[in-house]
Amino acid sequence: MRNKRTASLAALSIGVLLLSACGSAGGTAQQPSEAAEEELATTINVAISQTPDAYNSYTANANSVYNTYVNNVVHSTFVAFNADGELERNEDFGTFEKTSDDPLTVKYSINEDAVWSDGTPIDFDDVLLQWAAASGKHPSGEKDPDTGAETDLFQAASTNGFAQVELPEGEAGDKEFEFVYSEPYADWESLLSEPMMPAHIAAEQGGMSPEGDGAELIEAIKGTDIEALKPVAEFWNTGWNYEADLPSLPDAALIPSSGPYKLDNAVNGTLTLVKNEEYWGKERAAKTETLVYKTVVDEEAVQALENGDVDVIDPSSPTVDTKSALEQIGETITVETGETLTFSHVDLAQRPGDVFEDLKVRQAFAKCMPREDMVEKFVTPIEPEGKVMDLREYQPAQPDYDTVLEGAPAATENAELDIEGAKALLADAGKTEPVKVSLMYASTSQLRADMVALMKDSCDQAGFEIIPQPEEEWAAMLAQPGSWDAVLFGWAGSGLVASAESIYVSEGEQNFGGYKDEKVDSIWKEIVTNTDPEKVVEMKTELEQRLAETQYNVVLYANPGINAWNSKVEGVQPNPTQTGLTWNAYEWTKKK
Amino acid sequence: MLFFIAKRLVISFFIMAAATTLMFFLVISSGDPLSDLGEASGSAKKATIAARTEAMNLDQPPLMRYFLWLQDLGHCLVPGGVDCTLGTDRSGNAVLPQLESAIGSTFRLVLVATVIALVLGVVVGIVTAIRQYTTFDYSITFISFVLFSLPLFWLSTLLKQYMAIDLNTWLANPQFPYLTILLVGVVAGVIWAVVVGGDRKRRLAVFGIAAAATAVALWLLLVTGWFVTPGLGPVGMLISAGAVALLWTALLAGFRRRRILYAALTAAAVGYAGYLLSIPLLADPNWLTVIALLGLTVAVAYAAGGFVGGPYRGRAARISAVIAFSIGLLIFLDRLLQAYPELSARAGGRPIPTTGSESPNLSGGFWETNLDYALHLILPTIAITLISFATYTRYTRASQLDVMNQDYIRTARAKGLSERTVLVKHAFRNAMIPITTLMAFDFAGVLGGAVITETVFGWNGMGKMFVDGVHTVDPGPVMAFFLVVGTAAVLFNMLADIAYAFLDPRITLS
Repeated sequence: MRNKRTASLAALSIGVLLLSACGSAGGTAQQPSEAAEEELATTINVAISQTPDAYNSYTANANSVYNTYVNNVVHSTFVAFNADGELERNEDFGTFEKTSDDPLTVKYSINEDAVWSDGTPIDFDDVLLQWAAASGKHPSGEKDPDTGAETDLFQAASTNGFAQVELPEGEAGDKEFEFVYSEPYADWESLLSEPMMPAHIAAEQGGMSPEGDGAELIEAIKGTDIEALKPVAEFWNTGWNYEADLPSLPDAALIPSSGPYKLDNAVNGTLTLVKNEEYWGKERAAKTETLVYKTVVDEEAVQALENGDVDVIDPSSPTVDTKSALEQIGETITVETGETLTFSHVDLAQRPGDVFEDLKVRQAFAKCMPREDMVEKFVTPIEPEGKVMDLREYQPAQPDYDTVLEGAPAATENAELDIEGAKALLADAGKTEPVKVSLMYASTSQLRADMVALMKDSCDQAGFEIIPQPEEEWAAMLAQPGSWDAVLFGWAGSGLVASAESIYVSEGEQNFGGYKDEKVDSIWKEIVTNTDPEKVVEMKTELEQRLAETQYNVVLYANPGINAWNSKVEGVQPNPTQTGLTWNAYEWTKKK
Repeated sequence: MLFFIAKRLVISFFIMAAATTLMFFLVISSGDPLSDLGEASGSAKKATIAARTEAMNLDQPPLMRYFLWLQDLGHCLVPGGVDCTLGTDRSGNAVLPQLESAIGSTFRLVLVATVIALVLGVVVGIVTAIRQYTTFDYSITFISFVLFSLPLFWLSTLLKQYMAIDLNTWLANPQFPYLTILLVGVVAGVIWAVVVGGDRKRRLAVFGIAAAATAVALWLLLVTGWFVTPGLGPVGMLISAGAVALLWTALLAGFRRRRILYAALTAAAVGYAGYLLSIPLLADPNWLTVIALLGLTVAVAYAAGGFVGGPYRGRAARISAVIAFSIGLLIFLDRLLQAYPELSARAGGRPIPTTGSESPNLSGGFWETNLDYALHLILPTIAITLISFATYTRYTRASQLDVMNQDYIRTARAKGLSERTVLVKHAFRNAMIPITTLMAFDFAGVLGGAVITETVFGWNGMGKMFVDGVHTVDPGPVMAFFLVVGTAAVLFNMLADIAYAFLDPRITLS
């Protein structure tokens, strides 16, 4: 009886299993039609890790890469950095050429058809407002309580270059104008790479008439009429700010665009751009109807890409995990890694009395750095081409890197890991006890902590005693002499010629270690006043040689970067400069 | 009662005043608001410092800054005059619009999650208490402790993988092999058998019925393309309305009194009639229409149920109202689901998003917009629910067990009351008292404590506002956050105290 029941139960189970194994229920009714395959999608979603906070990204408060991401396609500029890290002119917007070397004079002409998306022509008043805002020549009459220096009406992010430009001459409505420099300026080519703001809006908001191509504003700027300019400057400083976390956009009339796209709407940190119908250019005309920027924190970007919530991601500090997670997704996405222009380095405190005052100690520290090891652990798993970096002003991603490296032999002298050599140097310097080094780094970064552990392992053998000093407010402590002996952090290279001056010259604001060298100072003086691009490499080679001889700091490697996008999106080209991934977003298309 | 509320409000005001003072000084002493500028240089740094000093009144002594904040707050309390901004953040932007947008998304998130966690937690808690020391009880204890100790960022990663990425892929072509359908049935059968309990024969029967029912239902859903075009439809709605009526009657009255059963069925009929009649009205309604229709249905069902109820007029009317309300929710759900195919197509066939609180540029009608909200709510709501669920189950179980061992429960049983009456009328009501306190705390807590949930799911809510504010030592947003969360905490505790008076006859409020 029992056997029979078991047997029939078994037979039944097998039968059910057999039945179940073959076939399945359900399925979709709709099959994608052939025709739809060919069509292009109307929207591309871009992930950014922080919400943009202002339409005018040239103010001190809003000069962030996340605003640049948007401004790349809503503002036209004369020139911008391309994917090779080189300056590329935008002929759609206008042309320019150097017409004289003494005084340095550059002639610009804006495209005849160039208009703001509200129909107002882009012309002289916009240029003049840009100059007024960035030249720092409009004292507000108020004193900075700390420095005692007078503050400017306009809170521009930087007055570099513009400060040397004389008041441009021209009339309302002019499309051509000249910039005459009072002294030579090395980066004249990239001067107008920052977005120009619509002057007719600023004038109107500042209580002036926008009629006559902005004649009233032009008069005020020409006459340096501080009282009249005050409300304009106030609007320029804050009037284009978005509300925090972008719950909505300002009034559409205030934010006309000069690029292939214009701002359309924003909800909860998600920003929508639509094709600018008034855009005149052919080369950079938008190919996709809508671009949507979604705020997604770095850690969540990979899953958002996999789920199709976003089409393009650019995680800001990718790790090995980011890469392996991306690779596991498979063919539906495209991953590209590369070296960025941001590089990691250790700065050394070398004022009189500091640990690294003696050149030999600095050299010994350089010799005991396990740089190869760090690259192997933190760079090559992400970017296989990554290598140790030996220069300070050129990153391996730039075309001139190898040429300069050849001309500066000192840069590779202390490059090899050499514990014995480091010991010998320390002995030469008369150090008998282990040299204590308090090494500061950002306490929020696991990567930095791991790097410091490797350094400690290696350098403690050579006669140093590294004391890790994780600090949350490390950035504020940089400028406080005595609060650290060495500090590990990153600099973002700009591709500009003269922007790093304050890092290396004596008393430079970003020369945190107190480095002092007369030769370096004089080379920099030449560099910043040189206007011939041909000579730059030569002078910088000399600079690199000197910086290496005197061991300014220890450079480690260029940080690796990762970009990934939906394989249906075409035209994406990662850009290692601060212009960022969206530099050519007008070209992007997405298959349905 | 009025006196009690007035007294509590006055006390609450002083508590809030003291708390905001403390909070303000804690925030401004928590760090250096200019610390992020260490790396900057040149005119940018100077200009930023100047701009920030002006926006945050950094040139004033701390006490003055607090008074200036109080003044900004005063502008909001006194109508007319200066605009209400609640002060500015460090970039010089007004805080109020940020707060409004943050509250909107956070309330949506927290409200739904808390309600679901509460209902599920209480129901499961009571069942575990009734089935104490059974397999079901042990399993739930195990599961709730696992959930309670899950770190949210990890849970959210799992949810995104399985409930969004994989589920979306499956939804593109929803099918299961028969073996899977069978296995789902078996699992459901086991769960029901364990829940219902009883002797071996009864458990086997429950297992068989539940397994078969689940498998067949799943098979039906698959072959009718329910996952492609979901919704209840007229037939599904009729069956659901009947089921809802029977369920509520079984729970609240039992089937012994036929008149109440008839009243319940009348309510179901009223609800169903409402469903048919409202089809044209609900094409693209607004919230007012929806709520008005719901109210009307409930009112009609209340009257009709009372009429049919005869001798049990009061109870029948109340049960009818509950039934009509439930059917109203079902109708809402049905209409919401009808918008699904279009939304799914718009999202490229991947309807469940892993990030964001709404789709940009949707420009759809009422149903599209709200279904879009709902789809964005799925993952974060599950995450918050799973974690709050644990607390609610454990508390409910403990307090229900406590009550069940009381003498008056034994007395109730001894005088021959049905088990249903003992559980629902005598035990449950008293077991709810501690849960009320818990709920008050939980809601206020989740309101400000959903920081990680908001971050991982890309919501701009209160938590993010608070954390960003603290990081940048910016008192404006932090104080705005604190005003809302603090007021909510004070208010909900007051509501809990008032609720006591209704639940527990020994408490009076005067």
